[in-house]
Amino acid sequence: MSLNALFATHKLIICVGSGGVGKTTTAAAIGLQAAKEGRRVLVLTIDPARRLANSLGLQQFGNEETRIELDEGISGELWAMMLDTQSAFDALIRRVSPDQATQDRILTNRVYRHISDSFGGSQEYMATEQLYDVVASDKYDLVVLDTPPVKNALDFLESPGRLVQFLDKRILSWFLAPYEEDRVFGRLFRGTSAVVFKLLGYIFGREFLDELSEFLFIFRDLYDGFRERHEAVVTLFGLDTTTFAIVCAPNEPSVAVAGYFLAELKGRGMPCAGVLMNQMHPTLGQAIEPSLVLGELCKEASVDLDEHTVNQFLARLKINHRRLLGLSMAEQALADRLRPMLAPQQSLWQVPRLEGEVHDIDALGHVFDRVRDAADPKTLE
Amino acid sequence: MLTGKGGTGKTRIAAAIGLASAEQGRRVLVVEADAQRSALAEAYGTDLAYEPTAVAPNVWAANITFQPALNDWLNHTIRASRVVGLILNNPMVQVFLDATPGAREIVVLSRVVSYLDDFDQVVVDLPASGHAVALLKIPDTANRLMRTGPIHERSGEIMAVLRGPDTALGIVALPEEMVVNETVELYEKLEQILPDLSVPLVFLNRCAAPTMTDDEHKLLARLSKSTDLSKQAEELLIAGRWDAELERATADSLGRLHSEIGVTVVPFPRLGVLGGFEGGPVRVTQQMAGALRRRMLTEARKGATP
Repeated sequence: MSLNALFATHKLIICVGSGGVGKTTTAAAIGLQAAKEGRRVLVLTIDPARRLANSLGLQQFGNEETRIELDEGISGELWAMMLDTQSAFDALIRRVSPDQATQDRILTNRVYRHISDSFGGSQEYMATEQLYDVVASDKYDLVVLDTPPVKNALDFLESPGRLVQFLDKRILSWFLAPYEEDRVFGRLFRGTSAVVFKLLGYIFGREFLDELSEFLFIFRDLYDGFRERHEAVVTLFGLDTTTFAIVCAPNEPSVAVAGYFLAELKGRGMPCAGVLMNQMHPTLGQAIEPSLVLGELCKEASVDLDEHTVNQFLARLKINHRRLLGLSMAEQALADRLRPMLAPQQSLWQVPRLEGEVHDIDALGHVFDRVRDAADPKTLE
Repeated sequence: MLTGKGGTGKTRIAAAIGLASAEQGRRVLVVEADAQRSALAEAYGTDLAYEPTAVAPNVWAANITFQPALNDWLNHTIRASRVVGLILNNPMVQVFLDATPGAREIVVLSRVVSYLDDFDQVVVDLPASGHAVALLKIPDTANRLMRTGPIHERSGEIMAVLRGPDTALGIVALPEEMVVNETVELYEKLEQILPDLSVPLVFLNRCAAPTMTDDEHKLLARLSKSTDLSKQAEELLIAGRWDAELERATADSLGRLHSEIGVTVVPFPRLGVLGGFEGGPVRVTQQMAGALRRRMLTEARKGATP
């Protein structure tokens, strides 16, 4: 499949992969390319670092949708947004709160402030929240999501479930049953509820459980809202117009992670368009003798330079090229290892590395210049 | 503790530090905190488990996963085995523990810290930058959130270790502009959230020492401007520019890390044509340990504090 076909047939593309493989740059480049095709695109990053801003040539941007200036003549639109967990969480509370009083009590609750701000998982949870919002808003033809590196990428699939689980009605009822009858713990506990509470007390301390109960008590009215949102997000992941794209770099660990993602997504029944292998070094595949190819030209170009320059330079090029060639062959071997793991409709896009770093819109527009799908015989040269 | 942008090679460097440090006569444990896929196992070329496995003379490695760590933690803090059994066998309590944000992390960090009693040195391969920051913030948050009880006490002890004189954090970076940006950001963030944590070193991986002369640079630039080059000539010049770029990026990165955060930078050379991957992961770990060993010898000769 061509990349343009991928961009044209999907409304949500989720980029996953290990760290340092150019996932954020890829997400931004997908966004730009689709905008050039006339689509309205939002690139959303969950990454705590400012990488997306960097690759878009911006200083930074917040959790507001920010429009990126593109050349005149591009009919589509490119927007970017970064997640700010705390304010996104607050916005969610405002949305699902039945009234002002409930909203105020939650926003000022100590347990809530800590959970929404500091604890692992909340970032991923909020990502799915925000994702749902922007996709549901119908303001964009395509939303591209950049996810955190591997360890957390699957949390991101699980975390809505995790938080909903935390707020599960059963848990709520364990806590709230005694709470609602009598706000003093211990006296009205009966049966298993009392045992669970006591056991948890050994770990968390009674005071925390007390405060947590209060938090959950206020929160119980919001539970249905949370669950509905979670179900909506799960539905969103299952749509035909949603796909995952695995991004990897041509090195052993990253290719291993890509294989792991292929298997995981398949196991979870998630749609996956294939693998983008970034930062490739394509070559002609043969050793080249610099003195034969460049010897004459070097002499002409070096009349004013130190006499040893040409020989040193040619010797250096020979070593450099041997390194490049070795790298190129090893990269192809890694691509060959991934190919049999792909399902029939999945692609393996090989994206050559650009010279220089990609941190402005111009460079970003060239990322996919020489891409080819190594899993599709039609695109092979 | 080691962290850094993903893909910089921090696991390899953690593994290499373990080897090089043990050669100086210490008993060293190298750990990952709750890794789904053990990258450390690959670096040492052996399977790893929760319990430390010997990977070299005086070097052990482990992946501290949550469930057995919880077991240890409960046995240690509660002691009454009947209660521990009840907790571990109660599905409701398990759901709660799994879902309570922070509980998992405290239990894992607690096990890591407790190894300081059994080894001379513990090397921790933390998650990548942003997630390491989140992890290192958890003890403080948990300590304030749970104002009594075992998590409160243990998180206080973990914080004391993080702030103590025997703990240091190293950041692993690459000679690339965006990686250096992130390293500077991470350093500033750590200063802000954990001002007492010592962050004395940046390990700059895959460096190229500057060996090209000015005249060679001029020649490369002139040739690159020529038109009508054959495909072969183009490819040679791409190879040349690729190397020149790496030399320049190495010099820039060393300069920026020095001027913007003023830490000691420990450069690691590029290994082999594939950044070392052709020799297999274990060979890379050994070569990196070799680089550290040479650096330590040089420092010792100069009389610097090891």
